[in-house]
Amino acid sequence: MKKKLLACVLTAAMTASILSGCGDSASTSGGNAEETSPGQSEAEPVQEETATEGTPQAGEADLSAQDPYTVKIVCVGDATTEATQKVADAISEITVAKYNTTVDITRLSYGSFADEVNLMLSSGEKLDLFPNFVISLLSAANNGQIVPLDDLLNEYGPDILASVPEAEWGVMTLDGQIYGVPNNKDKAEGFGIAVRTDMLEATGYDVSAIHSEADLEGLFAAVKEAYPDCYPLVSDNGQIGYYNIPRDDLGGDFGWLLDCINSEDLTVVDWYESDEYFEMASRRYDWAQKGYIMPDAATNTQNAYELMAAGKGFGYFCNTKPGIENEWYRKCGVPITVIELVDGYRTSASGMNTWFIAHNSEQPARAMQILNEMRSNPEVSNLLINGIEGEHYVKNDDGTIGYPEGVDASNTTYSSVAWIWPNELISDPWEADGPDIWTETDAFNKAAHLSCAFGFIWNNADVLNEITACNNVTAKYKDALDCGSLNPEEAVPKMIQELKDAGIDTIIAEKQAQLDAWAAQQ
Amino acid sequence: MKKKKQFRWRKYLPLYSMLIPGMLYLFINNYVPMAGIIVAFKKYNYSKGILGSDWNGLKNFVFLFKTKDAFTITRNTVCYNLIFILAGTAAAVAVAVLLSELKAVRMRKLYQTLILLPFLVSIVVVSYIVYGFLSTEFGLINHTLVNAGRDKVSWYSDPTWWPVIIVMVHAWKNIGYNCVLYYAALMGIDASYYEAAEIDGATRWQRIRFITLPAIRSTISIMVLMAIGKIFYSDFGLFYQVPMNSGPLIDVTNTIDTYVYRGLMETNNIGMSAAAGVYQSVVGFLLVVLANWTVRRQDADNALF
Amino acid sequence: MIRRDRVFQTTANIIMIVLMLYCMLPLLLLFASSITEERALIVNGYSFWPSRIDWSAYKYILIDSTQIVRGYGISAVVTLLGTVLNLMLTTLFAYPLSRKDLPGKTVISFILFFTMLFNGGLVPSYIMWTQLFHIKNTFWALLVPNLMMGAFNVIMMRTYFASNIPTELIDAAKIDGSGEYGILARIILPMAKPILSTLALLVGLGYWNDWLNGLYYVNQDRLYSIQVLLNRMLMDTQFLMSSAAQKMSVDTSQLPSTGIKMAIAVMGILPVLVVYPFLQKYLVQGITIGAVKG
Repeated sequence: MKKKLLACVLTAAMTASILSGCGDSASTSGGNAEETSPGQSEAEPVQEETATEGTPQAGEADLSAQDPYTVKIVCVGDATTEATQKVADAISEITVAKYNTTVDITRLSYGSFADEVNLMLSSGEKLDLFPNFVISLLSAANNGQIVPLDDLLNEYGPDILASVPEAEWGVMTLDGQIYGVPNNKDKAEGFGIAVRTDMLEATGYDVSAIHSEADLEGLFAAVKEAYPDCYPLVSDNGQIGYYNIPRDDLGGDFGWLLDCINSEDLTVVDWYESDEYFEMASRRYDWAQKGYIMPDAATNTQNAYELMAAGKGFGYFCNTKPGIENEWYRKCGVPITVIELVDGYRTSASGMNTWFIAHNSEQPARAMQILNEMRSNPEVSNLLINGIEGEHYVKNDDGTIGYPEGVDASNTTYSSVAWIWPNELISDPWEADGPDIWTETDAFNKAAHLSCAFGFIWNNADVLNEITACNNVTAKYKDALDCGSLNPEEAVPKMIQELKDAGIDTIIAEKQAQLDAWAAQQ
Repeated sequence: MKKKKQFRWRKYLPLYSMLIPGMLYLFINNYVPMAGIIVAFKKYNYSKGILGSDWNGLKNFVFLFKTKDAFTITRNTVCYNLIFILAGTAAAVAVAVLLSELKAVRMRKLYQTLILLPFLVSIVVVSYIVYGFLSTEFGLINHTLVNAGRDKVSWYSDPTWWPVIIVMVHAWKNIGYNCVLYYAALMGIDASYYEAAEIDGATRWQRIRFITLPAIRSTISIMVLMAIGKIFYSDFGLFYQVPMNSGPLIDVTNTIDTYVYRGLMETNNIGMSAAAGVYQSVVGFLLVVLANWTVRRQDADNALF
Repeated sequence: MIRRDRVFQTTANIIMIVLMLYCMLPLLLLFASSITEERALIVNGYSFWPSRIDWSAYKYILIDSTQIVRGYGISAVVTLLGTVLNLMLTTLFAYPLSRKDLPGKTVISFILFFTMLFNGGLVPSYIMWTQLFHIKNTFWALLVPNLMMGAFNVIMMRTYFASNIPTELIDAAKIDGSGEYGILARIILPMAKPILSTLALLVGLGYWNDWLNGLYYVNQDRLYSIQVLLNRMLMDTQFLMSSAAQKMSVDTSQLPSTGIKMAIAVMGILPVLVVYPFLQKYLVQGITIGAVKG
């Protein structure tokens, strides 16, 4: 009997702790939710001592007298535990002096980042800051994984507020509240095709007349004739996902604006039902028949650059941005020319990398202080991105950095993944990219056209069932049609019908309604 | 009466005590987390935790039955599993019996180890190997076909052969594993039975039929029952990675697990994926209880519980 | 009779050799492509005989050789310890269940089997192991969750006991005055060698191959087992190749090539091939002897 009782008590205790996501942190986060859910700006500051501290601009002296706290940062990229610890220690030196806060950094691998972070968020394990890698702002906010930042930004993010353009906050906003801090990086996207310079020159083809995907036909024919064993267009691991039109997917899923820079038309269209899509699919099918696209393109497991390096492939579509030719040169080992097809433009989703504060952060205010520092302090940004000087990089005379002797990309203990961190534009550029890369990037961002729906992102929470079903339909057809492996005369009508059965019209109607409501507010 | 019962209790105390470590482990490792099943009926919100999230009724289940895919994925999952159970069991038993009849002990060990090796290869790598054989451009099989003067086959866009390919890959990966289990059961058969049969002049076939097979009947029965419980589950990698997620093959490779994965990849909804798991488990459970009851009526020794 | 037997033996050997080839040829292709030069692979396609041999894939993996060696070490320790613990738990659980006279055995079997079908998913398990038992980033994380005892193995062993050990033997021992533990050690275990060695193999493979525990419960490199190391490389590749990564402008120039993916797989299998035949023998002997003495 006693045993039974004990067992019962034990079960109850364990079950309860699991269900609530573990005691302390759950109550903390519960508290946060309460404070922030009304969405009013007069919500109480999350932390008591800061409330007594007066104005946020009171300066660094005040903040350095706070209680000690450790901000846990999780990010992606290869790095050893030891090297990451060193970087964290170096940053802590700066942040302790300023905020009496130490930082703890963990870098997770790409493949498991989303899984691991989701687990940390569900268990109430210590976690303060993480980037939007794979985890989208939309799902994170809808699932309660992250906290709204409006008040925190006003109070502890002065440098962030000063540097982020007003329009960008719209993209970070869901249901009237800001959930993310956007990274400073290349934010526009353009489309082009990366081709082997040597083959291009050998054909002597004049590329100045190429302004769209359809214009590539002549070039492909010339290449095919000169190099019969080479495929003018290859796929990258089974995909040729680029559509080379200035489209805006309005935050993802189905229903796009097909030309968001030349027209002001805010009609949401089913891309797969459009004439443009059919034309593209027909063109690629034709190319595949003519041998311009590699056979089996939809299931190829090679990287495009491997195929190009081996001379099996001539070109592959890519995003254009400053330094893109160099990037491809590094991948392929042979000179690459990028032919631009669509000029750089910006939608809400393009280049959107953001940082979040986790719902289980014990002190979101302190996390925001550190995030502010990460985004505005070149020294901190440099440490986060490039690691320790002398160990992970050395400085050159022209202000660029390179690997120390005996170190290269394959054996460094702290890999540099600049774009994922809050501000790559204030870090030292790598010698391979050249000293001017960040000025060029800035110019590229500024020159980009804005989509007519810039600032709008949609919330898919109410149509998840339809999206699930539609994703299963596109899985069947999309890659194969993109790669020209299926005859669009037969496949496209089937796909359109199946999408309709799966409820794509509901999704588009919902999106249209949200977009109209947004437009009415502008 | 009461006294007798107490006596029995004490007699079995040592046996019960043996169960304690295992029971404790099952309790901690399996039963406590089972509370998480309620997520399938909730609109899970991380900051509210599992208990605090709002109830969602059966809404999480809707996506499973919403489209006509529901039929395809159920059919595929169940049919493949039936083939795996029937053909897989027959093949594994046959190989195990064959192995046990071999006289050369060294060869026996060698075979046994080598046919088990594919089991060690992770399914992602299996997909690379299969690609090595089937790739239209680089594949071994198409190379051979071209050398023989035949046309290339575009394996990954033609669903015709895929049911066979899936079964072959599954057999390749699992036959060693299953076979080893039956082989162990065979090794446990009392040698005196065979000696007696020898004296009676029984043929090899009679020996297998009247001694070997009956002796492993309960092992077979139990393995099949366990497989029936999992009949609504599928090896995700086998149906997603191995066909390279190729669109034209989806009609013959889409199972419940791949459907759920494809659908939820981007929305990352724990409630909906838990719902799928509950659905798969409940159906499997009902089937296995039914099957177990049928077996039990024949012979309790062959039943799972 | 003897001639017929010879015919049978030859046929049986031929069948087994065919089966063995069926199992081994794909692995041979795996190995061959791991030592084929990348460009040769693209130009000439896959082949059992590499047109140009190139070991650079292995060199790439072995750059951080201390990490790899430590990984093998951790895997070996976890596998050994885990297998022993698992077999102890499994045997202790299976034996009482195999006794036809045990009251409540159906219910207990049911409780056991139930865990094969229903589980609460990763999230609750993770919360419990990390928050209640604090196993995150400890050695226990590799050993305990999910792998210590499985219903499948217990049921296999129970079935083996029930069908291969005569009840009379147990009754006789009882008359001689043996207790239940004595019976288990002196009668059951010696007769259970085939199933013990088989389960030792399967459990050992389970531990050796496991990387999910390492993935979820460990993120410090001092605790990475070999499979965690290899699978992280593989998962990263897999991920960076996916459509999600294409949108993210990840620099993929450092991605392992096909050869490296294949080499990774070989590195995981090879030790098993080398070590297994020796280990199997001693493991089973050790367990049986230990049980008799203890």
